[in-house]
Amino acid sequence: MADVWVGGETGVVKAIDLSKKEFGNFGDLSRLNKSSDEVCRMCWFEDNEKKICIGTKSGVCKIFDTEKKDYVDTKCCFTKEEGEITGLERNEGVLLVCSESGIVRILRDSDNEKTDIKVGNHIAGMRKNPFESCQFATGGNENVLKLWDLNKPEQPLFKAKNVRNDQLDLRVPDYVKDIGFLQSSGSLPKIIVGTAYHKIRLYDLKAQKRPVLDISYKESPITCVSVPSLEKFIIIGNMHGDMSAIDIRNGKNLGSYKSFSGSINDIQCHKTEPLVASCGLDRFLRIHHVDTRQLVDKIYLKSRLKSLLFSKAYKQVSDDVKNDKNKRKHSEKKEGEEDGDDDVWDNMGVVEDDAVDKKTKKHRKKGK
Amino acid sequence: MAIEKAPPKQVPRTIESTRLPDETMVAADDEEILHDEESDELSTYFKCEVRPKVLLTTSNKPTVKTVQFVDALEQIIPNSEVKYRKGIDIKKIIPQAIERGFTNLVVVNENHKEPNTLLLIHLPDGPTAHFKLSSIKLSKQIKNHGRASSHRPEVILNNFKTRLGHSVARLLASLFPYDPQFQGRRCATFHNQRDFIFFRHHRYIFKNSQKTGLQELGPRFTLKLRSLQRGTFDTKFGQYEWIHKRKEMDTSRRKFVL
Repeated sequence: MADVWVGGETGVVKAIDLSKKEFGNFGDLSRLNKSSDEVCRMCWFEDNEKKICIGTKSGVCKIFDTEKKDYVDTKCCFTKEEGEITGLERNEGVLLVCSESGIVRILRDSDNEKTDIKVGNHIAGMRKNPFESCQFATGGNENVLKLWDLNKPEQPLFKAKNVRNDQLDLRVPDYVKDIGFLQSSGSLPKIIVGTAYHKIRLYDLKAQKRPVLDISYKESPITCVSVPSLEKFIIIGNMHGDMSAIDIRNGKNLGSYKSFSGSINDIQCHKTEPLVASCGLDRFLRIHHVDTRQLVDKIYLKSRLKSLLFSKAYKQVSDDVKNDKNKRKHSEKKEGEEDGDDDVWDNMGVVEDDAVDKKTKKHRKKGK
Repeated sequence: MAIEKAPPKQVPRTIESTRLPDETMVAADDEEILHDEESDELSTYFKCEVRPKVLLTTSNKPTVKTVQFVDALEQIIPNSEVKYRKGIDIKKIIPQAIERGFTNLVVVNENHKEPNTLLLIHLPDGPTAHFKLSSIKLSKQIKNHGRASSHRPEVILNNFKTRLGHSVARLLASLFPYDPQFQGRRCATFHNQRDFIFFRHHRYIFKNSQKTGLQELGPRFTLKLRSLQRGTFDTKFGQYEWIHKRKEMDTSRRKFVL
């Protein structure tokens, strides 16, 4: 069973085994075409993580079975004119697909019915609310954040307001790139948004339509936002290859995750372990520790990577075991050392007080 | 008495021979990379579908040294044109250049009245490479230099071993026509050593079946990659495939990226 699944720009899907540091390719290279088969988004088909939905550039959604290691189904969601898939989510027998041109199509498994929701033009990101399964949010170029309810598709549940004009009273441009949901107590979630104008915005839907937090991060467009489970910070990545942890309570940069050399395309946190996986244009898959921000693993995957899925079944080759071993080694050493020390002390001759006294006296004389 | 054999010749330990292992080294028969390269932005050049046509320009109001350097570049690169910049933004030049059928745009920038950066953009859809430019020696500063003929030169790309190196080498190759005229015996070399790319320009001659001669034509210059960006020049929304981060990357003298 693979630990991480990655979709490449060439159209191949890669299964990565982190413990063995190996990867396997799925997809016939000779038949794949970059302009149509490029993987745009991926999501799990079910919660048991046995099937994967893969959204491609040509608007086709393929379903990949991880046990049979083959494609089992393809669904034609969009035509080429409607643009590439910019959002793909799976929700209790319903497939949500979003195109760049601004159509969210709801495909039900039971019948072949399609429902369209028009969410505006130039959509760059669509994410479902992991805490409230019937909600999803969209946003894009000059397209503010909107929260939708699957049961009431006519009107958005919430429509954000752009931030106030700047000090010259000019309109601030808006370009939502990625959306993340934070856990909150009420029915309306807190939403975090990364924009192409390198801003991070936190919307508290209960409080106001404008963001409650608006901070700038470096100078390159933010490409992805990820929220670790049960944490008070978020992880963001940008096109310069900077990945950082940002505290959402005060907007402080807690520190950066290192070893990137190119644009980051996708970040995903492990559901239970404190690990975060990221991939991007530099063709590496990297696994960092969420809290210590240390690089845990780094695997070269040969093509530019677009999207990734971190299996929740993956358990870190537990550090505790390693630590235990180390500790044991240490303790053994220490015991040995202690014995040795005792010997040294035993063998040492006793220094007589006279010698010390003489020396000190001499020093005193010199001092005088 | 047996004559003692001379000790075996020792291999010198240089920072290149002790290079740190790099997992992105390209094997010649790697199917996935071949497929990737077959369908990238530069593949039209390698399939001989387009003929390189290069637009050379400088920063605004160039000084003498920059002008001389750009003229020298025009001498080396066949089917190239130098245009005065006239203060036009690069982003505005690009669509016009595409319209006129140019395949590459080269911009030489200067600092302290000396050319110091070279921007190489492949048209119509990237990639863009940003190089540091140094150690320029024009033809007339080289002793016994020859004059270049108008034949299409051969291009030698030396020592580009990693995946990034391959991308850069392909980009540099796309400046020159794919089919050299061998009777011209003209040869342009991009030699990578320790991540510095040395450019040399020679004419060779076969004196007899054993001996060959080499005459340098000039100019010489050295490039060092600063960033490789996807798509055409875009400082605002450009996606970087590789960017040099000094503090993070320059940790070991034996680590190379090209």
